Amino acid sequence: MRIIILGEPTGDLAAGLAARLSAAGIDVRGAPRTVDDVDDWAPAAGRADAGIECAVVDGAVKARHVALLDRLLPPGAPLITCCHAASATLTASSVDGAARVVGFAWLPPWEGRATVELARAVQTSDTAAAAAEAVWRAAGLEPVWVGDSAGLVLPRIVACLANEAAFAVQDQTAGAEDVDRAMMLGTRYPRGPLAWADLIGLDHVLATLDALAAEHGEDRYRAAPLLRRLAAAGSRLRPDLDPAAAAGASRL
Amino acid sequence: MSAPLPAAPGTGAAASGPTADAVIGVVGAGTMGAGIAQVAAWSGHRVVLFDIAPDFVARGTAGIARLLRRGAEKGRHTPDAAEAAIARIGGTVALDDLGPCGLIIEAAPERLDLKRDLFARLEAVVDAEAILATNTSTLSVASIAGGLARPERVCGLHFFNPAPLMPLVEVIRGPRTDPAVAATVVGLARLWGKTPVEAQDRPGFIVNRVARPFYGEALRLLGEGAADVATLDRLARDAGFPMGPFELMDLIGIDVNYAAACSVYEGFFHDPRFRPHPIQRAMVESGRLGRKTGHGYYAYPDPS
Repeated sequence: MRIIILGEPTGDLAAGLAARLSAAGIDVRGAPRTVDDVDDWAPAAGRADAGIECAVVDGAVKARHVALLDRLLPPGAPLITCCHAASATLTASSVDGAARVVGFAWLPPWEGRATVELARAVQTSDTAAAAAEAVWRAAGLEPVWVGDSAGLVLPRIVACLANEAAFAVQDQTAGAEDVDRAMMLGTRYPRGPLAWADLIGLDHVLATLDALAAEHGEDRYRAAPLLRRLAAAGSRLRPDLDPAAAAGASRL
Repeated sequence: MSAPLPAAPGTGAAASGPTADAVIGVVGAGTMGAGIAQVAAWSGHRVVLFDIAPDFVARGTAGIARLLRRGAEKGRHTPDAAEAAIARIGGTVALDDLGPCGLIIEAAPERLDLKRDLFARLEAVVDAEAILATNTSTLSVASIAGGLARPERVCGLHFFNPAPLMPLVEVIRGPRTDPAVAATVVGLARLWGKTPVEAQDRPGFIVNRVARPFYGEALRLLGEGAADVATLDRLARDAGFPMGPFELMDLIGIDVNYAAACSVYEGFFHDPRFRPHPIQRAMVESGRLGRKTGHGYYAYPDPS
C-alpha cells in the first residue's frame, strides 16, 4: 500500500503519522513540512492508494493540499483530511472530488494509541469511506466513526480543557504547574492540560478553538487571550518542561 | 457518644497556627469528613470528629475503624498502627469539644447559611490562633468567612474523594485569608502525605473548574449525535483518561456532577463556557443518577 502524506511547516502530525504508517510496512511518500517540493512526490501520487493531508493551522496550506491531492491522486483513491480545525464537509466542499474526501482526527501523544477518529463529509461516498477505513486498518489503527464537525471528538475536548486551564492561569487562580498537577492528581488526567497543549502545539490548539468558535458561533469557544499570545510568540504554557520531551515526533 | 479527649502534648501553636502535634477537629462525619479524620489520625494527630447526631458520629468512626482494620488485614500496615490511629479519634456532638483544636476542617452539607452559622459558632469556641478550614467544593471561602470576626484565620482545604487515597488537596486563599494561614495548612497537608496546590478563591477552584469541558463537550457531542456514550468514553480512554466522561459521571453521581456544573456556571455569572447541558438536567429529573441508582448513562444491574 502506498500513501501520500502532506504536512505543514509548524505541525508534527504528518511526520508522526508517516512514522506510524511506515512502521506498519506502508510505502509512505509526500512532504511532512512543505509541499514546495511537489515535483519530488507528485509522480508517486498517481499510483497511490490514498492521500492524507494534515494541515491544521493554515487554511491556505490546507486548501492547496486538498487541491493538489485531488488533482494528483488516481480516481477512487480517498482523500483523507485532518479535521482538527475544519469539518470534513467544509474541506470537501472546496474540491471537485468531494465524494472521495474523508475526515480524520488523531491527537498526540500517538504512542500506544489504538484508535483513529474518522468522519464522513456530507458528500463522502460509501466506497471512499470503505477505502479510508482500509488505510487505517493497514496502519494498525482501529477506525472509530464519529459525526463530522470541526475538531471531531478528542481534539475538541482536549482543546477546551487546555483553554480552561489557560484561563485559570490567566486569571491567577493558580500557577501553571499547580494547574497541571491538580488535574493529574485530583482527577487522574493522563497529563496536565497545559503540558498537553504544548505537546499538541499552541497554534494547533488555537486553530481548533477558532474553528469551533466559527462553526458554533458561540463565546464558549473563545480562546484565552493568554493562549493566543503565547501561540503568536511561539512560546509555551509550561516553559519549565523540556520542549524535546514535548516534541517527540519522528521525521518522514 | 462524646468521647473524652486527652489534651494533645504541646498544642502551643506558633504565630502561624497549628503544628504537627495539634488537635484536629473535623465537622461532619459523612464520607468526606470521616476520610479527612482518618488522614489526620493516621498522621499522628488527635482528632475530634463532630456531627449533629450520635448516629452520624458512630457511623463515621465505625467506618474509619473498619477501613483501617481492613488495611491491616490486607497487610498495608500493622494492626497496632491501625488501632493506634483509631484510638486517636474521639467523636462528639458537643461543639465545645472542638475548643482545643488548632485546625478545624468543616465538611458539612453545602449550604451557605448552615456553614456561616457553623463557622460563627466554631470561632467562638477555639483560640484566636486556630485555623478554620472549609472542605467546600462549590461555595466561596469569601462567603463563608465574610461575617466572621477573624476571616484571616479561614481558608479552603479541599480534599478529593476518597480522602485517604487521593493525593491532591487544594488550599484556597480567600480575599481576606492571611497568607501565613494558607502556608501553615500547606505544610500540614505535606506532613499528611498529601500534595497541596494553592489556589485563589474562584468558582470551582482548580479541578472542579478546569474539568468542566471534559463533561460539557462530551455532553454536547452526545447531544449533536456525533457518537454514543460508549464510543465517546472509548475514545477518551484511548487518549489515556482512566475513565471516559460518561462512565465517570455515572461514578460521581450525575446529580452531583450537575450540581458542580451549575455552581461553577452561576459563580462565573453565566459565562457560556460553563453552561450545563439539558441532557444533564433530564438525567437528574428522570432519576437516573448513575451507579448509585443502578442506571445512568449505562445500566448497572446490581446497584451498590
